[in-house]
Amino acid sequence: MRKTKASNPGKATITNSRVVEPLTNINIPKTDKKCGSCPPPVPRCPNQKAKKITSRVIIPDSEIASSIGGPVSIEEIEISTMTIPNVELDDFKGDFTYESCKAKNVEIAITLSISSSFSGTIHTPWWMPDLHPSGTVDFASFTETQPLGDIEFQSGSISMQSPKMTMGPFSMTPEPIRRTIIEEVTAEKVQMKCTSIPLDSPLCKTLGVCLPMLNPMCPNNVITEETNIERMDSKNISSSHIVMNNISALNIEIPSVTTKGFKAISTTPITITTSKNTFGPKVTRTGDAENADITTVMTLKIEKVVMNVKDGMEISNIKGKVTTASAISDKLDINLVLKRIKIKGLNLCGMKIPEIEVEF
Amino acid sequence: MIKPQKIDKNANLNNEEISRREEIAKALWEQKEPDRADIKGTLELIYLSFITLLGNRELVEDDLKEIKAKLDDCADRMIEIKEKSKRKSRK
Repeated sequence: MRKTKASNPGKATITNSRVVEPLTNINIPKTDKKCGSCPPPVPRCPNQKAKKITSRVIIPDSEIASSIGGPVSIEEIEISTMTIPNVELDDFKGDFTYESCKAKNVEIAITLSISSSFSGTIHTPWWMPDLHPSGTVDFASFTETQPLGDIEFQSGSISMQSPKMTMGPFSMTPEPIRRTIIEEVTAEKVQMKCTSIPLDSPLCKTLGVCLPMLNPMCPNNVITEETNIERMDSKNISSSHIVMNNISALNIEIPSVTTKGFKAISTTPITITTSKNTFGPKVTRTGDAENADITTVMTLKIEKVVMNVKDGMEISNIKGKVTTASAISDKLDINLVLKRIKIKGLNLCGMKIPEIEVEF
Repeated sequence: MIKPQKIDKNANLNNEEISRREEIAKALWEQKEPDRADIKGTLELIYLSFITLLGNRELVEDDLKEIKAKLDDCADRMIEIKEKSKRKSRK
């Protein structure tokens, strides 16, 4: 195998390409300076405008039937904060079951208003006939607050369902993805239209004698008007772990959440003691109660409270937000297939070919 | 508080006396102004209740008339003393 550097090349032929400026040393048909079917390249590289381009090589059409490469290792992929303004989930349904549920440190506040009526006999001393009082005593409302302790719920389920669930904006900030490996990358049917390579040096104009590009080629900007890739497969993309920070889903709206029936049981003994006067403010008396000024002490002892919610609970119009400081995925394994990729105005900025070797 | 004994509080009383006793008791129960306390009624109530403690009423009918008259006099006297106590001082 013999290698020849392009600065002193052997015989070479480039087909299906066109040099904008006419060639003088050999007899090659003159070409159109205005590049015929290819529009003028649109420079997009940051430093391209400052550089004066005297001539270019235009490659109207080039094709790659297929390519294969890999494994590809990427040391670090930086992804900026991702924000999705609005997310709509159609026919959203989430079913969850739970084995146990405990409402902790429950406190119950009962506001009562008591109305009582009485009738009966008061046995008096011998010199008085027995009395047969009757009447009513109404107490104004009052609140008794009692701790219930922990309340155990039986196992049950929660169903979240909605024809449409919306949220947004949804945002998260990925940490750089490190040590990503792509086992194999293949591309099929790559077409590049109107590839433009600038020619800065007048010394390298002769096609077939000298390659029409700088040799060595300083950093240059290569422009391709349009690139089409029929299919690009990236197989077995794997990364050790992925970390997402500041995950935020705002303005979540769920029309309804239902639960199945459940039973809540409190076995905490409760003793409610309250003292009431049958006289004074906030007491309304009628009948013989008007002649009775009595202070009563009522004690209510509750040994067990069972609340049986037979048909479950339905929570409507849930609105809220979800934020998470970070989410860590242990391992990423995906296959990626990109089809019919079209790239307009691809600029390869500062493309540098320091040396070309031609093998015969 | 001493719990009253359950006794027959209508013993030895005729229907008229039972009604009278109930009437007096009801009036006293509903009496809300102490100044107008029915002293006569109270002593009459004690008299009627006293009869219920007797064994054979017929044996002491004359005694009952005597004690009734004394209780009436006593009631009148108590009212006089009460009114006298409310007069302005002569000084």
